[in-house]
Amino acid sequence: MKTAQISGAQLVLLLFLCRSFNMLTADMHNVTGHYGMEQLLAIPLSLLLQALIALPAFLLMKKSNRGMTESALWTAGKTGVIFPMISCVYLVTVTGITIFNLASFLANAIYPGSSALFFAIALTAAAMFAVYLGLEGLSRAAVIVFFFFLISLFLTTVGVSERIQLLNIRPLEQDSLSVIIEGAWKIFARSSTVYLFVLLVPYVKEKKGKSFIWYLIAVGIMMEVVSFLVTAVLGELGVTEAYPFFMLTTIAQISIFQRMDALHVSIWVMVCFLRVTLFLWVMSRQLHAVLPVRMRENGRERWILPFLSILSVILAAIMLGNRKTADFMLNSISTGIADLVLMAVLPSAFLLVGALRGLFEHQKKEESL
Amino acid sequence: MKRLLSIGLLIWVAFLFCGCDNHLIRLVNLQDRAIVQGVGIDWDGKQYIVTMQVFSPEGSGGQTMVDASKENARIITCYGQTVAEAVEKSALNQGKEFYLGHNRIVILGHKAAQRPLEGLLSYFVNSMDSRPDVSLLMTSGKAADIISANISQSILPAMSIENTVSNAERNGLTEEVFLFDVLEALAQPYRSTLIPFIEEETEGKEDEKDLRSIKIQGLGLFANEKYLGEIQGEEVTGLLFLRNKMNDAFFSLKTEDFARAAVQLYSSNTALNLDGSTLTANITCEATLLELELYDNAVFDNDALLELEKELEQKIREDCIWAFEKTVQMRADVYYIGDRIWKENSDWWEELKKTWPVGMEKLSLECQVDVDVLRTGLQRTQTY
Repeated sequence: MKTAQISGAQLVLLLFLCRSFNMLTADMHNVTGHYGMEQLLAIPLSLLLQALIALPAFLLMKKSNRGMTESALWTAGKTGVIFPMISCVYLVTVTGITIFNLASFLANAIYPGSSALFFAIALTAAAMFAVYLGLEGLSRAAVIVFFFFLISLFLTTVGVSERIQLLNIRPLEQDSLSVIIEGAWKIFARSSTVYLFVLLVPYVKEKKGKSFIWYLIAVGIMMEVVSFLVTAVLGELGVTEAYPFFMLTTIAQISIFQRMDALHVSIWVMVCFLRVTLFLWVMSRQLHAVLPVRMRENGRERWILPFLSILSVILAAIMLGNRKTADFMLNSISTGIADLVLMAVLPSAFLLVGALRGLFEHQKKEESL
Repeated sequence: MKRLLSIGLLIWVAFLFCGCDNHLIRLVNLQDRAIVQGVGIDWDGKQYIVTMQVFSPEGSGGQTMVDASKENARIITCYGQTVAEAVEKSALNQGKEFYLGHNRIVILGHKAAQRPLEGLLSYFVNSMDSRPDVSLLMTSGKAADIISANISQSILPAMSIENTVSNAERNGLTEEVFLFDVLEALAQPYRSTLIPFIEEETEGKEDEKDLRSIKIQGLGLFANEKYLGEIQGEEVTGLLFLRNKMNDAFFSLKTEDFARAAVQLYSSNTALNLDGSTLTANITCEATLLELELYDNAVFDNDALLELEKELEQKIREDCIWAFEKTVQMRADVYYIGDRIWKENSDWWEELKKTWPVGMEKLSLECQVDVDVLRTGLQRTQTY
């Protein structure tokens, strides 16, 4: 498996695209019950929240001069294994939900009557192959897809601009503050890519802090644009639509381009492919780091990726076959507890353990020597 | 060996993706598709009657598959308790699968339009291949009569109807309403929506197919999914101004100087503002003078033009007030006044929203119109 490092800009583009996947499904997008000012104000607040919650993880990595998994093992010894284990369970779940979302969208809106499982398996198989090509190749692909994404977003915006009605943006109400705070939390809970940023920091060559700020700004702008369009064009209709942004693309018309939805779907498939690949790559790296040396020597590590991929597909298949399970999975991942534990609680605990054991001072002395 | 297996796997996957496996990706061959161009929905008191105009190319024996002088369409009628059931039941008497991806119009018959609108249209929302930009129309009679009228002004009858509505909208005579527009209005319970009202033009002899056409009669208004009634003529003009949907409307006027003048708008903008219980419409228009006939002693100068502008302003003002009064009387909030009150005065809205659009009558309309005839064609005004 190739492990070449990438630049901060490449990471920002890659994670921006991965985050954009959530904007296209209502389950991951609508966080305030109704689209309107509350949704638009919840976005900047959630960005602040994400930055604050990720702070302990960044601090731990800076103090230990290691990645998250390595820091956990370094500070807490064998107990630190708990971190990559919880992390992998979380990432597998998110990967399964991503595969489920794409497969159910294709079977519902594009290829009615087709097997959703077929799409899930095909996507995962392609992602597995891409994982072997490494992070650098994935980042390069993301740059190309990013430009397609921008073109699609721009054309869609222009195509629906005539239908924008500012009256559709619901005004703030008396209990809006609590709705905004709740919405900001929900956006944070659905932002697994912030956690991915934390995990990918060791693979970034330079300007890690700046990259994080740029990532938050880029995601914030994208979310505001998409939320504004959905709100101003669809109004209350957006609440009942399963794929509100897809609805926008079906009505967007620019000159001879009357099928923006077709362009949008193809880009969405590419974005989904990048997202699943990145998740599988990160999980593989994490499990690889905690695999016992003997197993590594026996060449067992090559089974990590197929194991994770199969697990993700099984999860997606269960969700595709049972609506209650799908709802349960989506609701439980949307609580934000997992993100909070992985980015704030555990890193804070490792910081404390490291400080008590004097590891950081020792590290500082070693570095100064 | 591994390489051979990989190549074999790739070939197999390639076959799957090109649609050679009907189990994984469901496909219907083009010859098995009935490409629907227009749908008419009627209600006979017990069940829906769905009439579909299906593309059926008729070649003229030459190089082209489609002969523009032929109808290129056939009519399929089906029945059911729901629209979906009617469409599914059509499999009993015809062997093709309907494809709604190219559907251009949905026409509601008078009785069908009395049914709850959201339920009536839900088939077209949930149907996989139906698109939200299909044009919605209604008629006072049966939709089936319009769909099967063999209007042959274009390659396809449905296309002729759609083009007529689009053309009327461009000329400021109606508003083309898409399925999406109606769904958007229905999603907000305080809003009302409208659908163009069409009739079959019966002029011309029975065998003169080329003379058959449809005529836009007015706009049907709906609130809370229910049909309220129809508005026609100058009320439609006023309504289009107030909804800021007025395009290149044409006006014939008379003044002290002009025995006859024809003016066409090329730009129009309406800003609605709510000030207390007064709704103010600021309408600004720019127009072209197309035709003029002066009285014997009159001179075509700036004063004459100003007078013409004032006359047109007065006409637009009257149309708007008529339209407003009519819609208030029908309790149809097609101007989204409820949303404006919600934004401007949320306390008042709390009182009104329970019964809205009851309460619309408490509002009055003030119309401020400013028309500039900036283009006078190849004629110039006398400045001496």
